[in-house]
Amino acid sequence: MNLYLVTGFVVFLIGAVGVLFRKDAISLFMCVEVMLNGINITLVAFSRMWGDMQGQLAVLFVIGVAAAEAAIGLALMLQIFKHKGSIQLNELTDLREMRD
Amino acid sequence: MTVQGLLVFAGNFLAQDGLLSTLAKIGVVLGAIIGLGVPGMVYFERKICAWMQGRVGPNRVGPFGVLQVLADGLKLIFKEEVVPARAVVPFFLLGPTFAFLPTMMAMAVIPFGAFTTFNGTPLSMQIADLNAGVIYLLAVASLNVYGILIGGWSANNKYTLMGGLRSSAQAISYEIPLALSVLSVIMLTGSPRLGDIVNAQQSTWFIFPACVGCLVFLIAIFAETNRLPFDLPEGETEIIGFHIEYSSMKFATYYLVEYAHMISASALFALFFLGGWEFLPWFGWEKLSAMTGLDFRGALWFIPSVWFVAKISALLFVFIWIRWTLPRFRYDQLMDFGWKKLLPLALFNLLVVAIYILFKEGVL
Amino acid sequence: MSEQLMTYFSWIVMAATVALSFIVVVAKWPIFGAISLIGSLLTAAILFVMLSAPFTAVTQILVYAGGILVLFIYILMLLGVKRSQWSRGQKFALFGLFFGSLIFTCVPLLAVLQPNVAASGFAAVADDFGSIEKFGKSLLAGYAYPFELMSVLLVAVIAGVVYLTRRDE
Repeated sequence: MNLYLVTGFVVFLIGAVGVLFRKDAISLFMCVEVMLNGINITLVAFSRMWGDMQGQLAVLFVIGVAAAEAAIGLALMLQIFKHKGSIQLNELTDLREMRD
Repeated sequence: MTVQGLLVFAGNFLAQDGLLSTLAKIGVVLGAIIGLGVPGMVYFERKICAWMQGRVGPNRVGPFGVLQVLADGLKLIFKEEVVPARAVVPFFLLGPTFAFLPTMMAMAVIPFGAFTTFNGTPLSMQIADLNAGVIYLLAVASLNVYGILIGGWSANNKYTLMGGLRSSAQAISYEIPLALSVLSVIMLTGSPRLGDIVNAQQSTWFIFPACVGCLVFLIAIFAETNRLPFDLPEGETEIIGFHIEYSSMKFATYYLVEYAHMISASALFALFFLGGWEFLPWFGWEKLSAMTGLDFRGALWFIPSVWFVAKISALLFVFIWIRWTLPRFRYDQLMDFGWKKLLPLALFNLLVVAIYILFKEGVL
Repeated sequence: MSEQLMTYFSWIVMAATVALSFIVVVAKWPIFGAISLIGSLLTAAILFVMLSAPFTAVTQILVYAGGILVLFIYILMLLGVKRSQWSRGQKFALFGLFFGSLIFTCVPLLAVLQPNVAASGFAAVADDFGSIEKFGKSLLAGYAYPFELMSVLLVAVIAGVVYLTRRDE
């Protein structure tokens, strides 16, 4: 039984490390989805462990909000690509402070 | 096939039978579809289209041309396999697999007859009796998109990429009216279990209260299986499709998957709207047993299954008939039809079915 | 016999989920990562089924693998994202961070959970625990308000996406 929790945790950890290290925006976004996948696994495992349906309901809401976030995020990325020509995070520096 | 067997086994958590009998059932269903259903479809398509066009069709290879399909298969096997330069080779080789798996996964929950006893042991005519069977079907229908998308992209060809994007946009656009019309069927039954849907049609087939939904579902499955008049992904004579870089057996696999998808879509239409294996709209097998004394659950257990297969064949004839009658939609006409005309019609169908249910329960 | 088989099968599926998630993070071409993410979601759906949550599993396949990732793959194909390279220092940092955090969190967790291993098994639940009927009743009984709010959220997202992707004419 612990193994399900360990799987969820390890997947979350992999996603978190990916978010820290990826350099292009879409791969970053995919690592966020990996994190959400790990969260879902953990929620369902706990729901089964305690016999409580609320864990699975939470997963439904997580999936729904992930869909909404993915749609808006990808539309934003399309616009950024149209205006700047690339989605590498190193090059998206318009809001950076001026270095004096 | 082992991957698919494991997937189906994992989905069957009720585990009515053991592992070996489930694998045997999978073998039977896959063998029947790929060995009999698809070659039969290919043969009858050519014969029926010839009949509609006033010609004879293949009649040289074997008696009445029945070995023509075998000859075509052998020709496709012996063709040269061409992999384009700078194609993404793993995905190019896996494209047909991505198309094959969801179509076969959908066959896992279709019941081919009533739950019967055979030599004393209960025999379920379904591979997996899921509680949320209909939603599983919608889920695997949405996985069909990947076969086209990956196949079109991996060939390193701008035209096939555009063809793949176009046809997957068609597939996901028509999933929504499909799901809404299936939702009206679930409303009428009260349960998304496929066996319950057929049992609820013992009094009346759902084609009568949900007639608009039936039409919406029929049009949506034409679009999902890429059949004329929604034939644009394949193009053939006017526009470049997603599969032009595929040759020989990979192309044959896409072809096979299209026919298998047609068979499973016809089975779903028969299950949802034509009463599954029930005999006649207001006259089920139970009434027939009571009248004639024949036992359709015991000795004659195969008669409802044969009747179900007859309904599927009639629907496949409709598929072929419409293909050789109607012209093709243009892409913007197609998207316009799906979003602006079919989706409101599906919502209207929900309203009609809701009023019918209230009427039947005496509330209205 | 069947219990043992299911345990081994669950180990294989868990390992597949972790491996596919790892490929998502380290893949050089983002489309390989997207396909691995689809695989990871499908294996997670198998885990859900083994944890008595069949409706959650089919919802995950329907919405997540069949909708959201199709959107991802569209964008990846339209934008033509190039390969990304990992420098040597980044690779060391990646593995160090990963295994370090694994050791520093899993070991204390397991040490804390170990005395309660007998108590951390599955609770006894009814046969229809994660079924769609029970799910629907729980959802609409206590969580009807968040459910409706989510529909408002989705409409807002549709409006936002239509506005963001309009042509400037």
